[in-house]
Amino acid sequence: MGFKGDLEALILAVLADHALHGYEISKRIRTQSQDVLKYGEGQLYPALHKLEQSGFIQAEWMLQDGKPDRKVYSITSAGREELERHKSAWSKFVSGVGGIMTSHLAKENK
Amino acid sequence: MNLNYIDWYLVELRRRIHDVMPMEEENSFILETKNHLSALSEEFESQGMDPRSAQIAAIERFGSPDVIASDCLVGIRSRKERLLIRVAGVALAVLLVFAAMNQFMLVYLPTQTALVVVPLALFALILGKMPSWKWLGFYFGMTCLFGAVVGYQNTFASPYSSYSYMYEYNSLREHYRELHTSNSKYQAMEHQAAESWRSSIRTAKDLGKNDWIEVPRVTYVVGNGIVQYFPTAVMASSPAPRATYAEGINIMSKGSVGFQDVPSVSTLTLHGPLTAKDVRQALQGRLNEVESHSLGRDIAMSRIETALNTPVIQRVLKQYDRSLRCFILPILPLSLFACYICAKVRGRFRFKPGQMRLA
Repeated sequence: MGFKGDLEALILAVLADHALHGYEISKRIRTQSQDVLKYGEGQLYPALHKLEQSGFIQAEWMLQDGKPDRKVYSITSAGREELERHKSAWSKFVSGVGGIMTSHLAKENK
Repeated sequence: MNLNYIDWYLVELRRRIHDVMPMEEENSFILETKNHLSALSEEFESQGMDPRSAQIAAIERFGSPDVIASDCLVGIRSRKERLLIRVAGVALAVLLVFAAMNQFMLVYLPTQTALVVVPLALFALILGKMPSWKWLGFYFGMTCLFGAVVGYQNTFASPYSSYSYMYEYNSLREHYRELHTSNSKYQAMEHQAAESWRSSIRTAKDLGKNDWIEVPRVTYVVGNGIVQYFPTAVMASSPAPRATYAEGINIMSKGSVGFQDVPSVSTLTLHGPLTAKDVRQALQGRLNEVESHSLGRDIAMSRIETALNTPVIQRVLKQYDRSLRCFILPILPLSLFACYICAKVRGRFRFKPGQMRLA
């Protein structure tokens, strides 16, 4: 199992607590990952549309006074279930990689 | 017009998705991108960048329009593909309607269909994409022109073509039925008149100056038009059914017996003075004429019946039945569906998504 830039999982995780528009989602991924994850932010939108088509998130245009309209995304119940699957897979990945890396680091420290 | 970098970027991005993405989704995506880039640019400006540098930095962070466009188009059928499917669907619907109406205005030509469908299917299978509009237009145009010329020659232009045989066959069969129905009625009329004449012939006497007798009179008017279909019957039942039309006409002129007359009975009065011999001769002439017509119709019916059951005619009929009343029209939907399926098999309609990477 490997980390294949699973942007969709990150989006679902970010949307788990709040309904957000695209720029805000991107900003949160950036700040919460402490700028470790680098990607063209434009790639966010294809991922969002894919999630929307899959029924994991839903979108709604929000009118704003004096500002451009925003498309706000929120997670659905199917999306939450999908997020749980991602979390489980990620936990296994971290524990597997972590076990190897931790023992390697321990050897180096000796 | 004062365009900034973001506007130029949006133009480039729109250009890459314009022919593929549905219009509504395209506008929505462009608007979201514009909002995102504006917000990023403002963020950079708030960090002390000048507006132009902020726009460039925002665009760099957003990513290459090529990568984003290709990501965006994953799983979306191109406009051309959608249009082709619609065209093919409409053409197929029209075809089904025509088939339901049992029309055969344009005759199905299997060879020509194969000529169009197979190369296009191979093209799509090998290259994995639909041919360009220009190529499709040129190919369809040329094959339709070819098909129209060949099809016309094969189906309509020649008097002994399959279509002509079919047309003549149907006409002949229709008139045979008509004649078959009416012949018994005609014969009853003629038989009644003939019996009356025979009786008068047996009892014929000299007629004096003031004597007269009344007998039936049978006259013929132009009726069912069997003669005009007779050449086909003769041609079809001849040893070389696909003889030239001139030969058919020649056979017709020899075989024609003029059966188009429909009998009607009125009364004829013979006035004296007439000898018994003259009376008998007059009545015998009438009798011969009527018997000739009656016998002629029987002969014509027999010949037409033979012609209708000729193997050549039956084979042509079966061929038409097998063709399921198809037309040149199915070539278009068949080609497009073949193209679509082959291209889909190759899986080249889909763009490869870009990947996020670790820093």
